[in-house]
Amino acid sequence: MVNDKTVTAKTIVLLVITGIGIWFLYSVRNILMPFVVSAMIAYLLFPIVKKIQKTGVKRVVAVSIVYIAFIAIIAIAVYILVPIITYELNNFISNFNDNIAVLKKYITELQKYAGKHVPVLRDAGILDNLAGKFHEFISREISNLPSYMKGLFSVFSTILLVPVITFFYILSGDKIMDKLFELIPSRYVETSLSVFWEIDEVLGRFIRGQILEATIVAVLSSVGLLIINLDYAFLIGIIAGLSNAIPYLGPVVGGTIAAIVGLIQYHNPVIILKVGMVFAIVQFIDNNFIQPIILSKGVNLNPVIVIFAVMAGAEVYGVIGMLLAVPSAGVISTVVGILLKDKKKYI
Amino acid sequence: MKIMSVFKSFFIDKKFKEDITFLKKVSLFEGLNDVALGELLTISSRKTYVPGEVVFEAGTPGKVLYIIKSGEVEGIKNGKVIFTLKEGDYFGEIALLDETPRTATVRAKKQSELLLIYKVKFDGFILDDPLAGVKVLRSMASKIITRLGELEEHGK
Repeated sequence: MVNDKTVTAKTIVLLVITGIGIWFLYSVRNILMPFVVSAMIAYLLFPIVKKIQKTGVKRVVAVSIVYIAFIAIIAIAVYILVPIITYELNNFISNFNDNIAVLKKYITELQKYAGKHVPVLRDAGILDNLAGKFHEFISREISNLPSYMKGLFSVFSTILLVPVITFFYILSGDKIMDKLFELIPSRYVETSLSVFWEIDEVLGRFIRGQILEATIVAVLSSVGLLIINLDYAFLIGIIAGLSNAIPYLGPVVGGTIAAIVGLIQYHNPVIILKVGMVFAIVQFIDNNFIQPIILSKGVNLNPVIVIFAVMAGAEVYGVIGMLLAVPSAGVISTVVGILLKDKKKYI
Repeated sequence: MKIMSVFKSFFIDKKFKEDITFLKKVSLFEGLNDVALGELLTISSRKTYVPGEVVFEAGTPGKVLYIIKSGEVEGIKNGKVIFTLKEGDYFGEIALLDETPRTATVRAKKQSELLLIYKVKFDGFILDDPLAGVKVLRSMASKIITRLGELEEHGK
């Protein structure tokens, strides 16, 4: 039996160490991107490496085989997609100013139309207020473009670093865990194993599921938008796939961008209905067929906690924070659950 | 023949194969093929215990199966040594079925290397290879029946 003072001291030490860890991670958050992306790819490839390894093949050989196959698949995807995306991007950039002018003109027309048919809104100044805010938003985002371009540069440096970091994650990950494990006192071994393997399960299911789900949603969205003949269908499909990882908010992002592009392209609100139908069908397929099959929602969290985590993630680290919010909350929930269950052992 | 041996030395993990040969001697894994034993190795962790180091205390909830890779351990209840196990033996297998409290304290008698298999990972192993999982559970059931029989004999 351990006395109260020892338990309090140990709890304080643990909280301090955890606090320092979180502070450190927050301080270096700007350089974390390549390590986070590498960890995600490593989680995707680990099960395949283990399947080869269990036949008796050396780990370095298994990792090399899987890695080469993965790079080959990425190379083929890049070879097919880059020309299409480059074409759409060039189109977008060359028509950018014209498109913004059309969008602003459309907002003004919408304001006049609404004012004519719903005079109450015009008289209360709501329409002028809304239109003003929208024009402000567009002007602000245009002036933020240089900083987005700077962000793209960090994406390129991430792309260069990620293959190297991923290779060493997969190759040495187990050895590092074994060495750490030897250092843990025997009293905490079973709890440490629980924490490690439960986090591994939660993160593994979530990451593998999300990558697969994002790919399928991107493909379905692109196909749907191509069918309704929308410009930049592939770009919007990719954005829809990536943003689908953000719970509740993500599916709206792709639809909103597609609706705005549709309005600029067709000057007709009917396109919003078509875009809505495309994304409703994609979400129906995602929720009823994709998720149940690939178990992408491996993190069992209360919806209120999910919403809080996403908002907190946005506050701390913007869009990246929103993407990392749910797995982080899942890991914290798992660790706390195990420690609370086992606390009686240490009291 | 030379080409085969060069190929093997380059591609095949000798230590992994030796560990599989070791696991074949563990009665709990009787009848499992090399692939199933390889799967068990990939989900197991290793830890070394010095003489006198406690592996687990009686009364603590069990979550891990232990296999003695090398060394010796002893089980203690009410201050008395009730069993001694050596290389190739295993203990704590009830943890694979349920997180019930351990019935005895186990400590290392000599420097011992143990393989540890966590319950949730073993559940995943059964899902991946149900036939192998059933074989392991059958071996476990057989040992429990033997122990119950011994207890009944002692009771008489």
